[in-house]
Amino acid sequence: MIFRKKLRYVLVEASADARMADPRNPEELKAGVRAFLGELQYFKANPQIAAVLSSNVFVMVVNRGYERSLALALAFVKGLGGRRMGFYTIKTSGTIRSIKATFGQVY
Amino acid sequence: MLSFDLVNFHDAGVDALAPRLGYKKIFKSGVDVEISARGVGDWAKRSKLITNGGQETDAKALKQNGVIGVLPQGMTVTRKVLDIAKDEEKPIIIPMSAVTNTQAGARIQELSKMRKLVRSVLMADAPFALVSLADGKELMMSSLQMLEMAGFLGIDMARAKTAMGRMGELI
Repeated sequence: MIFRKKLRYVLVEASADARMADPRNPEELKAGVRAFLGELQYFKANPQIAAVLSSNVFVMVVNRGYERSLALALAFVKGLGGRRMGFYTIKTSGTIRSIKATFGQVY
Repeated sequence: MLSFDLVNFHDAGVDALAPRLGYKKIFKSGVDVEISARGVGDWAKRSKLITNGGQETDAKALKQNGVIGVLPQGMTVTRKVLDIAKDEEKPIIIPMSAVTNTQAGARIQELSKMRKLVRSVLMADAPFALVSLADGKELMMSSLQMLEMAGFLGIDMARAKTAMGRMGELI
């Protein structure tokens, strides 16, 4: 039996330039999510940045079943890189392709 | 079901943000509706007011035609206000940004107060509306996040969706 990871991709928009190219910012964002979820839920969810689509829009990937927890956690993260900003979860999907298609249509 | 939001700041970019966040429209306090602590008297003769004057003021203001809802001061609401809101069919406005706009230490207390408010409203079977009432773009949230917050506070999905569409019916 082949073990296949079941993932969910979440399209996230920041209210300001998130500067995800700076390696410190994704870590800071994940730390904010961890602060809300707690160590155990964070370990189970394992959120990562999958793709950066523009200066303030990126895709996060999380284990299936934890996309809603991630959305809730992102509602509580209000800053990044010393700047105040909010994070909105726009769409959730099982494939990154459909997320990128949504990005192309909406933005 | 269509969702609407109410924010407490003016920004030209908010209207463009609405469809991306999953809202039909985002209303602005001071433009589409007024939040006033003086619910009776001359203010009440104007339309589309949300009263925020404290328990006694709110109880009287809710009976005025121009008042469309009540924003509880200090996240507390008395049984009297709940009963009047239920009779007048005017919703209790629950501002979600009150919880997200706090530091980690105070967050637990704010969450506790919010949960108490939600429980009171649900037990009284009073109508309520879920809005962000954000003071800035960073305090807004998408409709997906608002639904998750509602679930987190103990509101079931069906009622949460109805509550998120309520502002559109009123304004």
